[in-house]
Amino acid sequence: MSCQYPNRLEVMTNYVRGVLPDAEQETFEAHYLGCDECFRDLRFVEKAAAAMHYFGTGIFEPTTAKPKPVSPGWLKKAKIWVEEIALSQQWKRVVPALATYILLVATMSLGFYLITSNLNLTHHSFRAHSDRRGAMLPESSAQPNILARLEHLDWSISEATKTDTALFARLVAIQRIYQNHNYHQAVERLTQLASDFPNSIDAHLFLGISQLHTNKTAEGIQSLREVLQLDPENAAAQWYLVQGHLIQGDVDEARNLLVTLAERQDSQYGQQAAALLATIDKILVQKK
Amino acid sequence: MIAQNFIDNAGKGRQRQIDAEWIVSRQEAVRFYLWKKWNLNGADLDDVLQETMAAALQCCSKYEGRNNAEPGTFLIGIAKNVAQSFFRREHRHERRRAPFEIAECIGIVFKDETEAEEVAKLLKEKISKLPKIYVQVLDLIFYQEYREKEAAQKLGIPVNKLYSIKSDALKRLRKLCRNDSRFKP
Repeated sequence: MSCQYPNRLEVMTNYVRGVLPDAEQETFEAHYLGCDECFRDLRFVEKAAAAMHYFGTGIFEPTTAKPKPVSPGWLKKAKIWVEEIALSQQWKRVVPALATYILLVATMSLGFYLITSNLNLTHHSFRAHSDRRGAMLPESSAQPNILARLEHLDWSISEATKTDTALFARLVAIQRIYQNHNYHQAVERLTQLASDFPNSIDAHLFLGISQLHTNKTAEGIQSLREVLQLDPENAAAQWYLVQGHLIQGDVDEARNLLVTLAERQDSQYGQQAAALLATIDKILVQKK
Repeated sequence: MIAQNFIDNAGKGRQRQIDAEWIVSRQEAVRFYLWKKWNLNGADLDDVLQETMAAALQCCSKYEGRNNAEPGTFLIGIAKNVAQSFFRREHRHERRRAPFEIAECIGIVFKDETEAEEVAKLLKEKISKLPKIYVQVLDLIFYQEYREKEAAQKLGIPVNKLYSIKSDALKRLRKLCRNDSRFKP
């Protein structure tokens, strides 16, 4: 364990040179008489100081003399430099700082690359989209549909539904299909179910999501709107509706929905919406 | 057996032992102290050292480690009393600060003059590896005996910077010389 005597090297130097104030001198003497480490270092400082004092002419001669006309070779300089680095305590701070800096620059470069790639993809996607429609969309609605985050939503049947035995039994059967990511079959079954039970939020919601997964975006949006008619506060429906609009390339509509959703702190979609909104805004600013 | 263990109750939980073994292990430090503080040399130094060690061994059982005092305080107190008695006996004046004379360093700091010269050669070699500013600081402080403030003015750097350079230079020197037998205790 290293000694924690405050400012010990400075105190030692002053003690050796006889310039340490009396009170401090007594304290230090009492300390080094009991501390091996300090006594060892004190012996070193005393020895080095004495040698430098009495043999200073020889030791410091090269620095007081005029510079030599021929400078030492680059190899010697490099060797001295490497030794200095190894001896210096600063490398302990410099190396992590340098590594952090490199990491930061690499991350920023990667981020910049990804963003510019996204913009290029968006541009290509927009062109393909425009070509399909046969008409140019306004620049502001050039849609980054690559931003759409269509993920699987785990389906847990709501308590309210369980009171309706017939509905519940059919939902359980379809839930298994949906959970197995068999969206095509889920769409077929849920379409029938939604027409049989038009007030079932679960049926419309998972029908909409399954339709989005099966590239039936327009139908999916329609189903999700029906959910919002039944339950205007349904955050999942709002989130997937945003995704539907993004897939369609309707950024303005998606953005409007995201603004509403981001204000809601009570759902898991609030933060996601805020993040997505920020990304969209950033891209729109860059495009301008 | 003269052995007492004292637990420091001041809150830091360090255990402080003062027994015969510990006192004997501090002999070199006490010798250094007597040389440095009381400017004792040769036979005088040996006499005072011997008397100090004997007195310390006799009364170490009385040490209580009050007020969280360093164990070295115990030795200092004894060494001080013995040294003062010595000077009274010898009708000499106390000289509390060791003058910097090479002859007086022989036997304490250096074994002999040959070792002193070898150490100087070694330091010259090691110091040449330090940056120029470090060498200049060591030169001004230890050779030309400048005070820190004066040295800083001469070099045109802030005093704080000079202090840090001086400390760093000594740390580097210590590292460079660590493996040399002449710097080993």
